[in-house]
Amino acid sequence: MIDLSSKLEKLSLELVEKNAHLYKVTVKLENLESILLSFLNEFGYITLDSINCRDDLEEGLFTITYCLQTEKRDHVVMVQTSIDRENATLPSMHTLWPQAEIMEREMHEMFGVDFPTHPSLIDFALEYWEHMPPMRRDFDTLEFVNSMNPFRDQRGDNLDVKVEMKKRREEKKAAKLKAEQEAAAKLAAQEQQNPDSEAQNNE
Amino acid sequence: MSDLKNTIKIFHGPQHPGITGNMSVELDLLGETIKRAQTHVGYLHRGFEKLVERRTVVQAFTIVCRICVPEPDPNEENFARAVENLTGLEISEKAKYIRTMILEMQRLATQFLWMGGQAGSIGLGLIPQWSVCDRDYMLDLFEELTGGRVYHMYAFPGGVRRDIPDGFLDKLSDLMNYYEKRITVYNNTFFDNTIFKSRAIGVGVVNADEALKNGYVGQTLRACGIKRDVRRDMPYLKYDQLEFDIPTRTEGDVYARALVRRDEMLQSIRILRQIIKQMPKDGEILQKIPKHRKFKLPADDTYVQTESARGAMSYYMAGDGSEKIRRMQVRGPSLVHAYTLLEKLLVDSQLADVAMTMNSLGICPPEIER
Repeated sequence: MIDLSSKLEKLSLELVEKNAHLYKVTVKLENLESILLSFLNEFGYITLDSINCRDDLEEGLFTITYCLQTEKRDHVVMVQTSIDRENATLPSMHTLWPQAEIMEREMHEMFGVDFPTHPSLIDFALEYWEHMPPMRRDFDTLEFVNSMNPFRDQRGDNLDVKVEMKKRREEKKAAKLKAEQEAAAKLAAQEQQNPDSEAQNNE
Repeated sequence: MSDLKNTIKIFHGPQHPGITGNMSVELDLLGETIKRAQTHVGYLHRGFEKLVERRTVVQAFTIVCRICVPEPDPNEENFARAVENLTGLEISEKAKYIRTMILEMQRLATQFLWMGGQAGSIGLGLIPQWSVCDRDYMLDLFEELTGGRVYHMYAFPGGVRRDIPDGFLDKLSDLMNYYEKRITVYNNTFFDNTIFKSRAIGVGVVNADEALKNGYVGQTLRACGIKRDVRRDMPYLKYDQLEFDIPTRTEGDVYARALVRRDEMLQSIRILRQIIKQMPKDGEILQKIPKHRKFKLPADDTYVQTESARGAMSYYMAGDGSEKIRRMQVRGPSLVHAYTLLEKLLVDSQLADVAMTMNSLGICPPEIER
């Protein structure tokens, strides 16, 4: 890895060792294509294992990680870059690694990242999806489910859980109070009867 | 496209023999010859990666095993190891041995299930009945060890959840002796079967350069002569201290992949026998995690790989300093095999070979769409 580190230093990049088999290098978006090309053709990283996308909503960024391996497959180098979340566009890498085609298709569908040079960004797992890409963190799944699948009136599941739980607690409390009152009344009635029975016993 | 003029279009799947899960392949047929194949997934999208983002480590731990139904343990291992890498948790020697053991047990169970699917896809009905029964003996041991037959929820960040029960290793040893004998029987009935040979030899051929460049893994890679295995190339747990070979073939076809799997089963038996001998009697099984319900992951990311029974399985995991997992992305062997490879392999092959080819690639549809 010293060899790769020195090669990257020439490109003003720093190779960070995360553990014995994992290294990371952070690059700027404008240099991404040329650096990935260098990784493939000069450094021998002939295998693209995966492309990972992370939604950093608070920073307004998507963090993209390309995980690369050499022919020996004895370590992984993560080449990481960040792109603007609102205008998420990346160059397609399918000409360098054929498997990037399907990974980019998935990323386009799930995060809404555009790949202008991709051959066909057709549907992956979701058919005719017209909403916000579902893996974005600001995608409200509850709102989506409620809007797409309205509750049926006949069923008892069209209920607000908090209100129902409160109602149940109150009903339970009222039932408990009623039971206590009944028990007290019964006891009082027994006590009223008891003096007579005691008197009868004495007689 | 001119070739597609006189073709008819059929959908192979979502239900079909030999595959554990639902996916379909859209085929354009000229007679019985396939002229174009296009994979479609989406029948099993359960949004695991999204679910995990809203959960703590303890809550997410119960979900990850469901990502691939026939092979939950490599998912558990990847998840546990990713959390350990991020937080710097060290696991004990005994926990490492137990985790290695359960991974190898899972490998055997998965290969028995594969054998059933592979034989079933070419009409050999007896083999699935035998192999599913043989897999069940392993499921019995899983149940004794973890409490669950299929989903185990056993490899937890910091170790494993339960210690080995008394007498368990003896039972495992007996089962290995039984399996060794059974593989000889499967040799005679399945691997040396004339029908299987005539159907599988020369079908679905993958060449070595293509396999390396396109990121193929597992038996697909090893059946074309490339000796790559995460257990040897990037050893984890106790694999660096165990002796085993990496079986390879050079033909690259369906039959070669089947033979590699058979040889790997024998290697798994060899590994398990070593583990039984070397298993420490005492030792901590689970590292105590402080405030495990509010266990925070640091703002960092990691990438881990485990060799599953079907090839390398990788997890990317990132934390953000809170209890929730910021991102977990799964990359199993199936994604590239089902798209990049299968769509290519099926062109100019026969309709009857589709199920057999799919099965030989170790495609697990639930893992593709997560």
